[in-house]
Amino acid sequence: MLDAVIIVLRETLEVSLIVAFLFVYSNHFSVNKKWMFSALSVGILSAVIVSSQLPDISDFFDGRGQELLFFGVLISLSILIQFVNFIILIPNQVKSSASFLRGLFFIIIVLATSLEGAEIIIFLQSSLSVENKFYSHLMGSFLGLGIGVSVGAVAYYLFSQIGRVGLIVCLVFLVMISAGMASQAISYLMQVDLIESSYPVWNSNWLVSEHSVIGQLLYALIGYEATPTLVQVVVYGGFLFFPMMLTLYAMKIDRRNL
Amino acid sequence: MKAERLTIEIEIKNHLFIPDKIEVPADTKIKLVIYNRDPTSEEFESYELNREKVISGNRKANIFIGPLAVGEYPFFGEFNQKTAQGLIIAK
Repeated sequence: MLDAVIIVLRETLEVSLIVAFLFVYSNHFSVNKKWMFSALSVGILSAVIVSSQLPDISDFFDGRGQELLFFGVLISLSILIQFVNFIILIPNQVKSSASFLRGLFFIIIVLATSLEGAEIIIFLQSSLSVENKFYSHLMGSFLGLGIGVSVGAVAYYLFSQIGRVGLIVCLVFLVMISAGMASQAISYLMQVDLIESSYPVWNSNWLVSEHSVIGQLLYALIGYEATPTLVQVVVYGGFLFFPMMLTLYAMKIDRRNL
Repeated sequence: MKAERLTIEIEIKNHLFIPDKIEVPADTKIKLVIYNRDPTSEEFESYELNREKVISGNRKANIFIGPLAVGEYPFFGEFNQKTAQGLIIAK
């Protein structure tokens, strides 16, 4: 049962935190939150479709279909999250863009739920055929889901109570989540030899092992990778650098408007 | 054009990797061809190799790894971690 808790928690945590941070954004910028429930429903439906079609999808493109799908979803998510931050950082943009933001939030939740949800469904399906395993895995999955959703709920209440600071914390986490997704997307291309793989630039497993609970949590929060390759580091850095430049630019405009 | 990769075949049977210990030359790019002989899906995962892939029941999957420095690289089946454990040893 513990395996199921960890597997589902890993898949749930990132989505749950993304939803929580977007909720905080919605509060600050008066974006209607009703979109959330329909986005989650569409995401779950999409997860069911992806999980049922994954065997065939995997065989596409000479056996590279699964990686290309995951790459596409992850890179789209990272760009969309960066785009949301871009709109939020530019003063006077948010009010006129509330419905556009809502649309972006919708797509982000659908994409994130589809990918992580599909893996949970496949996991549960694989437990079905093994005697006595399904119910313990189902229980574990509910527990993992519950913990993941609770962490998101706590993050939401915490960051929505502390005003502008909460907003900045959400922005920083979302930037790091999107950088982590981009780096993970690149590793899928290496997995199918579309990008040359190389030796890791460093090995920080001695400090925080990816097997550990903290390692898993950091993976969900900031895309922690103990043994990244140079391309992954460059992509991660690029996805951090771009919003940093944008923040400085936004602050410059802010000062001019004062 | 990319050079031919050293190909290694692995089977998943009764939620076990066969073979579960694989010796490979260090500093070489390798193509793992994994046949899932079980009717259920398995997720091949390795933190040390930075690889993860869902392999549906009765299907095969290709995963490229390396070049690897000399050392040991554990991998596991995420859906059956108690039994599906393996090790790649780069020499």
